[in-house]
Amino acid sequence: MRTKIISLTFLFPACLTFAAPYAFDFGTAESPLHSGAVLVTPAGNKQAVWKSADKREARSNPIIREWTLNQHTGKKNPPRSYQTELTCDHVHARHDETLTLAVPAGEYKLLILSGRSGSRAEHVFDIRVTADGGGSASATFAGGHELRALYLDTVAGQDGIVLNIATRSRWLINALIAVPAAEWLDVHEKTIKPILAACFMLPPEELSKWTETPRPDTTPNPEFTERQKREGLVFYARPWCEPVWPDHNPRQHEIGVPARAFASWGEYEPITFTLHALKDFSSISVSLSDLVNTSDVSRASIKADLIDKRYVRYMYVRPNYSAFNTYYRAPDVLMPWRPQPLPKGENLRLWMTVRVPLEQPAGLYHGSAAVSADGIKLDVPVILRVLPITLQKDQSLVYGQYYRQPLRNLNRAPDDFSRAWWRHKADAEYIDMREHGMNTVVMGLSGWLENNQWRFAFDRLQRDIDLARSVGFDKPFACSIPTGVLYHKHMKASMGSHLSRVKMPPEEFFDELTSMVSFIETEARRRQWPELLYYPVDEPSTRPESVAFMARVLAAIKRVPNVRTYVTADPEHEQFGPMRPHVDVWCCQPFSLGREAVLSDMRERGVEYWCYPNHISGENDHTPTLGARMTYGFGFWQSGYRALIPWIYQASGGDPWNYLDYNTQDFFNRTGDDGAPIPVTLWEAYREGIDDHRYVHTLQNQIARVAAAGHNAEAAGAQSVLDQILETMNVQTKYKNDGLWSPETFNAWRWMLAEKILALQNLPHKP
Amino acid sequence: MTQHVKNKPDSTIFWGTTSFIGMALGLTVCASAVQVEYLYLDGLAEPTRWAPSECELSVSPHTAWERPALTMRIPVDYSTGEKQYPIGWPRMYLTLKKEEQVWHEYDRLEFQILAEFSRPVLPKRPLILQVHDQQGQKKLTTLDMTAIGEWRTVQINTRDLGFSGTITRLGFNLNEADYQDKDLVAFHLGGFRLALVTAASVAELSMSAPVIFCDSRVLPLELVVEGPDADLASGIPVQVASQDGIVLTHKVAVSRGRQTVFIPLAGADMSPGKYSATVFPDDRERSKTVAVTLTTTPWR
Repeated sequence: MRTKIISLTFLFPACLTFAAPYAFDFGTAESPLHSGAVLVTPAGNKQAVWKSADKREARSNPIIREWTLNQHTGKKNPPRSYQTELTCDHVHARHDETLTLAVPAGEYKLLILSGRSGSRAEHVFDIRVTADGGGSASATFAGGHELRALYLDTVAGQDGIVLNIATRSRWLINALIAVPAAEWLDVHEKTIKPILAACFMLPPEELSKWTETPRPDTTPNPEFTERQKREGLVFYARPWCEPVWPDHNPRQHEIGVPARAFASWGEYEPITFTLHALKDFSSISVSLSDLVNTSDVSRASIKADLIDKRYVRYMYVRPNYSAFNTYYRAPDVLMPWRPQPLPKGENLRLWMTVRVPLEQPAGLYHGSAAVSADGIKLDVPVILRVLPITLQKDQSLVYGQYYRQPLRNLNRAPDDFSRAWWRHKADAEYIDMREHGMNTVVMGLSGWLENNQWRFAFDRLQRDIDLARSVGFDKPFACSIPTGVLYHKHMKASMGSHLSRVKMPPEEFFDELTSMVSFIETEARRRQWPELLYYPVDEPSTRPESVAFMARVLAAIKRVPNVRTYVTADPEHEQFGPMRPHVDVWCCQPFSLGREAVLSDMRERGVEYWCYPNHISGENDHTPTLGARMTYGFGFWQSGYRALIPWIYQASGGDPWNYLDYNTQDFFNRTGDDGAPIPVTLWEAYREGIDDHRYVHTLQNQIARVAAAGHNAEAAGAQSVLDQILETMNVQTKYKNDGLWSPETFNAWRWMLAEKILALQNLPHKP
Repeated sequence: MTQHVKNKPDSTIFWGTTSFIGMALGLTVCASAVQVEYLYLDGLAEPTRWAPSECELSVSPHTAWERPALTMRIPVDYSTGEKQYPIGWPRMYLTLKKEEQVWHEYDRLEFQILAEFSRPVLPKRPLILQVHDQQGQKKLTTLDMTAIGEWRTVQINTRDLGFSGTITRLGFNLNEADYQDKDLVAFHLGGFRLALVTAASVAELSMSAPVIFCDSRVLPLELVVEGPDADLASGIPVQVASQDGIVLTHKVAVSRGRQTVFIPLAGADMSPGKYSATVFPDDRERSKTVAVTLTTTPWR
């Protein structure tokens, strides 16, 4: 650790005491200082002058590289996030502030680092920096590990750069680098990029232990036209459910293909195209036109501003949830669109999601995406066919998510803004889940002992249930209960991860468990909650002690009349046999049991089979979009299972935008500055799979209707499409990457289903 | 010990695939007579070369394809083994000798497996094969074809492993959690060999695109290609036909292993209907066919 105290004895102008780029490292007087940077404490100095008389504070966090032993798992874990000399310390305040940096007059590009405060997870930071010389940037983020980079273009006057800092909660600044605009490219390459890599990937000494293993590109080099070579920019289209890797070639047949899709009323549908650069571009902008009906229907269009426009962000990912030392770039997050640079040889995928308005006139809609790239103009045709179909959904099926309830952060959030942010996050995520077809989430009831008396967080669960109901969730809620607390009361020990340390407790434990569930159930009925599925332990192991304990636990719960139990275990394991009579809902990872076995067991014993398909949730591979679509669509249809409920809507540890830090990698949906969700491609694939299922279900209902009306030939013709799908379908327990239809085929099946729906839906009820 | 042998392929496997397609299309296609060259890796059947944990190794009394075999015997025990993981992973590892690391020159690893078990039915995941490359990547393959008292053939396409580095290490393991406590299971593993198909051929042609739009620019075909690189460089012929006759013939560039190739359809003026795609259409011994339906397009 090095400490440098800045001398205040330099003569004015202070800016002459150090050279561009001008780096300012904010923190305490004692905290580590980035080499060559000026220290900025809450008191400021001649080179960085605070204006306000209000109190500013500084905080320093340790720079830790050592891994520490986790007693619970017995494994060593890295630090939650890696600090550097620039990020480990900061200056923060609750009031608006003005900071003047003494630098020579001229045009500048500023990089501000803000975050990684080390504070509580519930704390929401908010910073907006506006320069007197023009330029503004802002960030809002929660917790103590996220780090943000803010960029401003501004002009320094005679007094230097004047920055006005505003906040709605608390702002913080770790570092600021001011680069004369003319030197930006050079400085960025030599100085900024290594700093960003250290801050947003891993510090160099850690990164040196990792190997990048990019996905090999087997695509032959395409032949580009002279114009494409001259302009250096090519557009191409590929089915949305096939990933576009960052530096892979387009396939020859994909180049110049319009972005096209078809969708029914009320349906969300992705429309994508990709830009491939044959030279470096500093900024790509895209402007989407309205989509105008060209099928002889006048005054029918879908306005461009109704189409959600995003781009696919490539993230550095690990090959597995808990793997270290290997990484690659993968297409993952669907970031809200903003102009992007595009380096030579790289891809930029535009991802637009249209929701077809109800009763939008049927037919073809044409429009275009106007691409502007450093003076180069491209027009990408966009075609949408609107189908006059009202899709139906099998309402008996359950679609859910394991979920961390944002409202749980309210009571520890430190200010109004933070509380409002968490409330908005909760609201936005529930709406997002509904719009992606979900109808339940996993709940949890906290319970603890006070003076040996049970206390339960019923009101907290009530709020979560109210929110879920407000968006129409109408399926049972799997709900964890404090079995571990009860166990500790009786055994003075932990059950261990997946019951790894469990021993058979005394009879009183099970009696009290029955009483506890009875009490919870009584309260649940009093509050008129939907059904709770009692979820006492997650993923019990197959150890005989674990199974014997679980069997007793489930039996104890079942002593309460009319309650059902929920277990995350694979019934294929014979060892779980003793639990079998007491399990009402088996939740298995893949579709581990065959369709017939599932259906017959459900029919004969009234149990239900649910599935948590984590293999397509991103915890390992972030890219199996085709497998996700298959799992949620045709695969689910043929599985016989009643629910899909993967882990998890959002998994974040350490910096939520850095998948290489923390002991497990981050995956699935991210969070925007306003608390609203930022989807990933897999999340969209879930919805598209559900839509495949809706087309199947709608057609099945139409077939039943027209057959009942005596249109037997038409019904048989439609049934032949379903038969054809089944004949060519490779039914698997786990759909991921192998043995799937080609991406084009999924859309072709959907179209064949749609054609039959269109043919049947207008047939009269009686011939 | 390694030994080169030229042989005919296991015709049962090829019959299985071709006869299915033949039935689907009402065609009769003969079994392939493509020759296969083997590099036998009998050293892999030597128990002393493996490093076992929680299992016992011995020379098997059986032979596989009349080649030596070894026995991996596992008494499943939920209370012994590593302290932290009493329900563990009995396993054995072997480092390949230099002359055994030439997988990239061959199309597939083959060996035979036979199981003995103290109960009548094996679990779904009886044994797992691990293949490691020099960069530390590994590929796990569940040997779910394993049967009690019956030799079964395992074939691993070397290109399907997805490794760019040299294969340096093999392993076998089971998960005790897949078994019951006190189960006794033994696996006989033998006939280890690397197989090289001596002429370009298509081992698998899958129905990955049974239906596409009629205005598609290409027809995607998923296939597993085997044979010497020199033979493959000139491409393999593919013919697309309708009930009325041949629509187009195209020579498509391929490489060894599993891949998707795209047959250009532009200019062929394909109308909706039923078609077939055949590789090696003029070579009855090597030809394979899949059916494809062209549907109408939503965008006209």
